[in-house]
Amino acid sequence: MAAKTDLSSMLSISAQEKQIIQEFEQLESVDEKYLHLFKIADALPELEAGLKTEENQVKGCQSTVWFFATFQDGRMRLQADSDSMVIKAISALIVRLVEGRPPAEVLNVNLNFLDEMSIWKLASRQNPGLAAIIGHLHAIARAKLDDCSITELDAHVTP
Amino acid sequence: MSPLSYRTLFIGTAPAGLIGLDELLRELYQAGVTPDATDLDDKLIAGIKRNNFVPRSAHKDYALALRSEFTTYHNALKQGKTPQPRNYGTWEGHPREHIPWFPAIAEELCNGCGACIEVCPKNVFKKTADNKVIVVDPFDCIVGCCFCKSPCLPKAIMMPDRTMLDNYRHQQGMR
Repeated sequence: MAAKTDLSSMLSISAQEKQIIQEFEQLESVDEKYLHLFKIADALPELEAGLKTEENQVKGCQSTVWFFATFQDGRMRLQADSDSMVIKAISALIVRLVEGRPPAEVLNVNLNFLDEMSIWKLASRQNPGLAAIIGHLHAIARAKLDDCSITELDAHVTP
Repeated sequence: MSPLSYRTLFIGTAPAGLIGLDELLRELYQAGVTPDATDLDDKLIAGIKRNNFVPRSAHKDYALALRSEFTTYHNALKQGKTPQPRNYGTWEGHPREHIPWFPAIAEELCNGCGACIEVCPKNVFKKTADNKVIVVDPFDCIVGCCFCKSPCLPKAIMMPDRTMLDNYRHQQGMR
């Protein structure tokens, strides 16, 4: 069973984004940055085959990418995988950002921090593949929020 | 006897590994052939066929690519430079040009939006005058990267499967 998230020591999303940006700023060349991305991708545990389902697959990204989310005490536990090393690395960074956060906070996550890593010229919001990934993640968080609202409503009407 | 050179050229829109290209270019130059020679295409095709299979249907595309190579080679020598195949470095200790990892574009699908050009940090792609995108520097592509696919809405970009790299590592005893 996963350990409970220590909320007091948890950084804000923007602080974690800054950490990631600094991590990449230290690397001078694009090749070094890519090597680091590949290491991040390699370190992300492979999603088990049974979880690589149609439902977990992001629609609209040309690479195949899956997200599997569970919630413990209202906080997201996220696993991800992709057949593309760069997309897998970006997914790993997303996992880093959202892990242990409530769904309402996950809705604030975007990929603008990627633009500050000085690797790609195309802004992440103009990249349909990345937009699909973040859209998928937000949909998971939104569904959880809706689910919670219904449960709370049920609790009120139950005699 | 030293082994013949091996290089990959884009013939039309597809990559082809060619044996003995550098030797052929040198031979034609030493024989006094110039880029404007009327029989250059025939000489290039006949020469490259000595060590490679060139389908008749692809002669035109081969001639175009080979002529471009010969012109570059000839002009460099005329300017007193020593034509050297570009050094693309290595990938995990192996010459980069031995690793067939680069994008290929389905011309009929490409809408010329240029998003791949924007996303590639290595200038692998270029836009042509007729608003299509072509691969100009395949070996500049970062081995393992296929991020250029992500913004391509018409799915015009094809990349090798990652398992190809795993197989390569396995065959070379790299891992």
